[in-house]
Amino acid sequence: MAEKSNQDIEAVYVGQLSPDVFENQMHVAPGVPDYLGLGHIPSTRVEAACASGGLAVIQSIINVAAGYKDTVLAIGAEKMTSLSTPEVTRALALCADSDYEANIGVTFPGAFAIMARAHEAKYGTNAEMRAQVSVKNHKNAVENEYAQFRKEISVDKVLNSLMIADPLRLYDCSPITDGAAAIMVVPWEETKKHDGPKMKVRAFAQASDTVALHDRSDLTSFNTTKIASREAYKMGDLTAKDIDFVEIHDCFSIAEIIAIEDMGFVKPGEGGKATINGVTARDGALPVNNSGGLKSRGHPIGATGVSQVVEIFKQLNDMGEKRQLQDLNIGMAQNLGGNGSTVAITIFERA
Amino acid sequence: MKEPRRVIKEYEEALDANRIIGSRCECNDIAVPPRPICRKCGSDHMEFIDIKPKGTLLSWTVINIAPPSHTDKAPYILGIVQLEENAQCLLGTVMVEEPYMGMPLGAEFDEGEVGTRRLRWRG
Repeated sequence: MAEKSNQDIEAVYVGQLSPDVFENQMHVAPGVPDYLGLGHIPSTRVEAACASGGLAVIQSIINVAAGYKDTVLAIGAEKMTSLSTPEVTRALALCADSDYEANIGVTFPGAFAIMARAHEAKYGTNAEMRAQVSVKNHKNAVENEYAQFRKEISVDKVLNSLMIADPLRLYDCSPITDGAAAIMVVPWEETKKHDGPKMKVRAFAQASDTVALHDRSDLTSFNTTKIASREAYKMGDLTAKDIDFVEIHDCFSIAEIIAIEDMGFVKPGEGGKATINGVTARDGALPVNNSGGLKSRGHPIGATGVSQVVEIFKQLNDMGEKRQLQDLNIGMAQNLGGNGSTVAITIFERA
Repeated sequence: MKEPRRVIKEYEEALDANRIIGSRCECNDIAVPPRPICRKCGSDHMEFIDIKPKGTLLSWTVINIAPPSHTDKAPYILGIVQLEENAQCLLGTVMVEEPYMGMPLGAEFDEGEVGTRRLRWRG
């Protein structure tokens, strides 16, 4: 990955959930080369609910790795604020199983609330532990000029906020956001011709699971995160211990707790305790969502997976300014779609 | 193999007749709602069977902020119900005052609704 001009771009992958519902526009892929003046190059939209951006990155990597194109642009974007909150809730609920879930009034906060309650019953992961995820991510976002909320919050504020889907409250949930992010993928040899910032793709993986939550055997973890992480570690000849920092899909506070367990950073059931103990804080052993995460950086659905990779790019090139972490070599992103029906994992290393 | 949309329709029609049905594969794996292809072995030799309308509550939520289709019903409880006869779970509307983990539930059917919206779990 390196700096290039737009005239060098040979293909585009656009990660976007729903330009149709949000903006009354389908067929957005050709609109990217059209409006960016890139000519007649191929452009493809990738949709995997909230993992659309992560898959745009993975498809771009696969394209370049296959030797088909040499300069591929991965873009993620979503324009959500054009609709009211109930309309956005409905649009997102379309990512659940329409016949068996959305039809009886399931929402995504509701699906994650069911998992939060199951996790609490099995492991004692309580409201204070979940709240600490949001408190940490709000604190981290203060130093991110691209974040939606650059304001610290207290545990009490989370615990006293509006109940959305019991036991998840407003401040357990990521917000509705407009946003976009992009990254360029090129063959490694190409980067040597440029002086600009760069990083190396170390590994990637993707996994799928049932669309409906009730078809899962375990309500306290995501098969997709576990499988994709394991495959990515194998591809990169890595273990969880080799990862220096991670950007995680904290669409809801409980999702970050489950993810650090599923990715092998802590044992199952210990994610809440690790969060309370500061393990995942900026100055902790494993900084998680140093950017502010979805909770505070914002969650423009299709953009999220790409913006995670952009954050890793900045950190690995010491461009993190006031939130720059030290002694970094390897960064990892976990991008989760729907209630975990799709997960995209990418791992990068310092060039 | 039965066409998937047809399988969903048969499930909904069964609910309209106050029955819960599932599919049983020749490998004996049971799926509720029924499936056209077995998730365990990949076979499409599926038999549709009646499922006992009883289960226990595995986990639940109270939806306070609902999508536009359900705002007039909020707050409402949605839970994952583990069916009595097999390991399969089902998401459903739970009509109890104070739900708890492991609560025994029985299915009832709302005469004013059709398809999957008819199913109600009560303590």
